[in-house]
Amino acid sequence: MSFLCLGINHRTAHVDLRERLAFAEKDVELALQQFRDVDSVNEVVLVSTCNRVELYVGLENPNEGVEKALLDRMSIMRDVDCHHGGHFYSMRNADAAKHLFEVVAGLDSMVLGETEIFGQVKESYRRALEGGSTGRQLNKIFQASFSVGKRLRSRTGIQRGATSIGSVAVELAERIFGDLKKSGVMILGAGEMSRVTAKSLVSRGAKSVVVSNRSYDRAVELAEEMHGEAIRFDDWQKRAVDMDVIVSSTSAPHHVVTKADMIEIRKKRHGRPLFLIDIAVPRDIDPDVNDLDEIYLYDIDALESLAAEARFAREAQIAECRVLIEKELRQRLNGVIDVGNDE
Amino acid sequence: MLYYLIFAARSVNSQTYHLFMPLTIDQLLLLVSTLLFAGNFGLVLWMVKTNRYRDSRVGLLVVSFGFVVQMALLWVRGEAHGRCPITNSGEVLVFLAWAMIIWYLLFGSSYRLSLLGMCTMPLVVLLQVLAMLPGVYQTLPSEPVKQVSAVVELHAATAIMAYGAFGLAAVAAGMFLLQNRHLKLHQTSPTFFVLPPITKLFTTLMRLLIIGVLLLAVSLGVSYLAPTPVPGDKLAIGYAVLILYVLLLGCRKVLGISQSAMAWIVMGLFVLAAGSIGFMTV
Repeated sequence: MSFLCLGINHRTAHVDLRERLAFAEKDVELALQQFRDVDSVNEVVLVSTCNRVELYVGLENPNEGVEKALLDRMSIMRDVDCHHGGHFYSMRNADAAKHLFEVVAGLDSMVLGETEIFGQVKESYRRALEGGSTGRQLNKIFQASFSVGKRLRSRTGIQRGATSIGSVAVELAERIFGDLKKSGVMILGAGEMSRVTAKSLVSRGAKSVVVSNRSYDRAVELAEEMHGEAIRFDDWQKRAVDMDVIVSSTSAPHHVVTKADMIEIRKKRHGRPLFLIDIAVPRDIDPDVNDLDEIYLYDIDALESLAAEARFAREAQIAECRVLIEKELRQRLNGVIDVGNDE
Repeated sequence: MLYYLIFAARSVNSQTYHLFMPLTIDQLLLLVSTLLFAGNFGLVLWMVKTNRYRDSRVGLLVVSFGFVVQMALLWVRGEAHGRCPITNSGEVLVFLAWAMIIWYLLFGSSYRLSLLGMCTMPLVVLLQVLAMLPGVYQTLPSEPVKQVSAVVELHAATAIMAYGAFGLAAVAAGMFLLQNRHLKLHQTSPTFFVLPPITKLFTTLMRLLIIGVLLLAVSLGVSYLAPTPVPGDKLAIGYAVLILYVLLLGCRKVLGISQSAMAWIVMGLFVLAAGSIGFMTV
């Protein structure tokens, strides 16, 4: 019995190649059948996401030529020559299992520690399990990988902190308000950055969106996209009283939101906190606004610095994660695969 | 089991007793509960520092067990006195710590306030360590009192429960100020990610203040039904504390004083109120 991982990812192949090799959901079942027909192949799980296409294979014997046979099959299925360019990597036994554990934990992702991959691998495994493409070996290895993935996320800081401007904004909003389901979001200036940031907040359940822009038509357009309400730019102060988050990204050369504006707005809010996100350059919101109680102002530099800090903190966790993976591998897969031969 | 322990402790020869158990049963219970609360604090602090923190039942179990031991202690002392065990400063301190744990168990679980336990424990441990000090901790009386006034007992117990609520409000205020500082200065730390949202903390703080004020008002109201009048100095202190908290709530409502100012004042007021604990004995 031998365990093999064969695949490409965002580090070894350009998106042009990855999109040609990717398998649509409807094609997976047939592909699994075809890979299983390869000599020595007992079990197969196919993981196909935007950043990777990987085959995890349980082999009857350590057939040295199986990689070539699988690549031949892949080349035919995807109409791509998979042998050239050195894009595919291949690992066996402990190395392959370690790689799977790292993938599930988000250590091999483009955004280090991201959690989406966990669900994607779980879904790929579920499909293979239901299609009868897995057996004792792959079941044990994949179940172990999910337990290890969960353990790494809870025991280390690998997923701690937000690593993009949008997710930092969401994280801060949640540190202020908790659940965003009761929060209203106002967008000042209908630029791309404010759209992306507001979308992140809406995706976490923000109750309402109000868009205000100097060009009312553009405000209407963005409001429709966000299922929100467009208002005239002169009315933003009045409506800000009921909002919880204001995302500002106008192209104004001066401060659009002054301390005097905020003092007036704050008086009418009965002590409710207000989160201001200024992603404009030059800045839209007077930095002195942050001196006011219950008002939390973050500009683009503050958000970017928090994202960078989180990225750095996650990178610092890699070594600890690898030690844990090594330990878990020996504990969970001893007897399932050869955990010592590939050290 | 408790009866067995007491029986065993009382029945052994005094010399052997002191050799194997240098502490009396109530002192032992006080020490164990203090160690459990300190252990919970240490455990959660270590989890936060090593990025391992998550709301686990283990911490809650440790506190709950400490709470049961604390109840046993109050029960042993209550039985010995034949009345509510708030007859000296040491007992009042333990009762106050017990009240804070009750409020923590109620609020911490209802509002899922992570780290409220960790932040409450140092104060609880401090109160119990102070209670252990020689001169503060009194030995058990040889005989229980003959007459007990239920009204006076109720008056003192509700007052201490009110102080417990004020104490936990002060803890929530401290947590609020820490998270507020993180957010204002754009700083993160391991605690930033595990402290509750400031809005939730402030809501909890306000609710605890209101509960404390109501209980203290009930306590002072009940005192007028006592068969013998409650001493004037005790009542005056009770009223002073009540008025200060009511004024604070009024200032928030009418003048709209800021959340951070409220949090600072709540912490300061509790320090003042805690200074009057010695007057709360019956």
